[in-house]
Amino acid sequence: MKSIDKIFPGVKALKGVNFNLKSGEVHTLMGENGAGKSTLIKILTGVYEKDGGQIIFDGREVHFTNTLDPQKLGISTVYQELNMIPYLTVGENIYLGRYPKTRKGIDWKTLHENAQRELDDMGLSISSRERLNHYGTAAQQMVSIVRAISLHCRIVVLDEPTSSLDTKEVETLFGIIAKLKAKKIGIIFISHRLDEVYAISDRITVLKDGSYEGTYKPAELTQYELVRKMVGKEIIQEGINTRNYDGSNKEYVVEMEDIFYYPKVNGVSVAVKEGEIVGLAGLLGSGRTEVAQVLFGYAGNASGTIKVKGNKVKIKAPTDALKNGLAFVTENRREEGVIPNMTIRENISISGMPQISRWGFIQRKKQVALAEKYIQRLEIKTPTMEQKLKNLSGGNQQKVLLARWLATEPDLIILDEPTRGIDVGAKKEVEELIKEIAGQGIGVLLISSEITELVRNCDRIFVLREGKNQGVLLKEDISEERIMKQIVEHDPVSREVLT
Amino acid sequence: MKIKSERNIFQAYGAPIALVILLLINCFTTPNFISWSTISNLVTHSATVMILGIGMTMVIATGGINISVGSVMAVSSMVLAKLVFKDHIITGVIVCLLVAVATGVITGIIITVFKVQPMITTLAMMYALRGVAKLLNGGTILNYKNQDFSNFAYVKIAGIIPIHFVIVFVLAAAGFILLRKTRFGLYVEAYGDNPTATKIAGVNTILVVTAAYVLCNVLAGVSGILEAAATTCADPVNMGLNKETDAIAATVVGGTPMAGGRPNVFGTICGALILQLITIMINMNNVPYSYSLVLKALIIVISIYAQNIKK
Repeated sequence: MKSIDKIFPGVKALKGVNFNLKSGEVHTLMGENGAGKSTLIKILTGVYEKDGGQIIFDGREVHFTNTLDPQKLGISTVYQELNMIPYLTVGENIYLGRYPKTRKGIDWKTLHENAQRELDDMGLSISSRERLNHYGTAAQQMVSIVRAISLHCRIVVLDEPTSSLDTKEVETLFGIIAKLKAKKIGIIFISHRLDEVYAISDRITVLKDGSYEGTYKPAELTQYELVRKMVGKEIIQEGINTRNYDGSNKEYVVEMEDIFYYPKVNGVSVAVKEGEIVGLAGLLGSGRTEVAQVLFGYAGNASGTIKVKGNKVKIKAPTDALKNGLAFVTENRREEGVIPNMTIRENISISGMPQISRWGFIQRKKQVALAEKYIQRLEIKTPTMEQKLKNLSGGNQQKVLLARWLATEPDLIILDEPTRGIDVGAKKEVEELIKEIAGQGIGVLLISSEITELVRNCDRIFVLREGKNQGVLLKEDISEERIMKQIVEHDPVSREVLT
Repeated sequence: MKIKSERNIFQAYGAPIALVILLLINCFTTPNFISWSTISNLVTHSATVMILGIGMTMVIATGGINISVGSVMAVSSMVLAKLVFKDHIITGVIVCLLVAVATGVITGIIITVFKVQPMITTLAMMYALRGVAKLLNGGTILNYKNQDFSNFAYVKIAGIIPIHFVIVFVLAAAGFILLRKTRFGLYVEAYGDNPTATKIAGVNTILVVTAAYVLCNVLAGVSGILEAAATTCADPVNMGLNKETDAIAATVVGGTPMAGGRPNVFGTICGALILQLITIMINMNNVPYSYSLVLKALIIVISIYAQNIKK
């Protein structure tokens, strides 16, 4: 792809971007949200039409006007969100729309035999006759890669394939990628995780604000330089917690004791003091998110005691949580946070309605002032507060959701994976915000699968494993190593819960 | 810095534009079209659908639908007629509206608490309430003679403007203000756009959605009162029959998205007028009525098509 341009109303999304891919190589696209990675991919897969430049495939210039043209040439995408049918079998998904037929109908036997062979070739222990939703996200992703291979594709686009995988699954994925390389298939890889990028890439192309910043071999570019090229400003590497939090004479905002929520939570106790940043650490499936859901009344039948500022409370629905001064920025921004077709103003003010309305009528001036205040304070980048929320980048959407909850002036804010899927620069900003929020005396319950993020920010960390407390680490004990140790083994030294 | 609103203009203003165009065409082609009585007829005949449409707009904005409004009209007007028959006008109106509220609460709770799809819930309510309406007077028409009450439907403000104008205007204005200027309106739109996010944002969604069905049914009750007054009887079989489809059509033509989201009350009013105008136009040109149904269908399909065009 040579000097590709793409213009959207009001924005020039791509400015002369170059990108080339050799067969059998892994070429990573890096850039912040809004840098133009997705746009470039969408041009390559025919979702958008380019406004300038050339696409050359096998030495010939090609023009894509729809999504079918690239597929015929063998360009296949494995999206972040899987585009497969969970209730069909694995085999049916692989050959979707291309079922082998006999005179009587579909030739199921051949279909499953072929599918199974493809799966075995990739070294996957997945059965073709099993329903797709029987398997986890990782396996489903592998199946969609197998589908791409069965289409005899030449290029596979993997758009953030690792974002929902755990370490072991990532290894399996990388194994598959190695096999794809051996088949001379070119791979375009997109990820926000630097370590993975360095582990797998043959070359890295960096985009920034729609411009081409260059293409490098991983050995020629340190992680620090890469990040600097992406965000264009100095960012602090691997910092340690610089906060000086002394909780000895502070009150507890929230105390949760013996929380049970079948099947993920089996007796967890967690407490947060005012102005304290408390982390919940643990592997996927350790019950981190579920604990937060119970606290916010979003889970079904849970048992255990919850105290807010020393008083026992019943929280049956998010409305109750809101009334008790709790706030919850969920992990699934799109499904559980963003109200896409409403404006930023409306999205910011929805939870704080009681403060800005009288007799049920919205007081427009107060609403505008509220939105203005938080757009400025959180540096939300938007031309106007009347913009629909769906038009903002991931990082800015996250800030709007933070603003929504800060506007309710909560005593405790739960942040579930607040930096997931947002770029390095915005991540830093969000982390600074978290510290600022805690600095005002608001308790923060931070959930993250990035242990370094917890180490950087937390004053206290509860380590969970399989729905049980595994241990507590206080400020001076907090380190990546200690957390991982506690996750994998019983660490009797800090076994006492709720100090 | 101003940006252009990227709302589809057909969704926002399609219905009023279409209405003006239709009116203009008729001015030139339909004989005797330009007269006060045509306008007057247009509004009085479409009043029921406009009032139902306001309620339907609220419900559709939440992403739901209410096909029981016709039956609600029948039940509430039967209750009204029973009481007016004994000369209790005020009590009749109050009890009739309370019955509408009760039906709305039941519908809302089945949908929100028991999580039965709105289409199925209101389908069940449609059958059940039609049955109740028939039971109230043994399935026969209930005639009443109460001059005071039936005169009400023929009141003319300043001697020329039918009372329907005033009722529709007041209800439409109230609906518009409720949906655009209040917390409730914001919650309704947010729920239609993303129900899960709205719930997590701390909104009492059970209350909001139930309230939308209650208001919708109360408006159906009001239509029932208006029709019962105009006809001096309550007919449990035909009262409000198929009116729900007209109300849904008016809402859709008016630009409220069927999947839920931004409500467009003004659009719904224009939508109802367009549908009625087609009937009047066909009548005045001596074309068989059946053609108007085909023409309505065309209008509905074209309007949805136009609203779905991206930018």
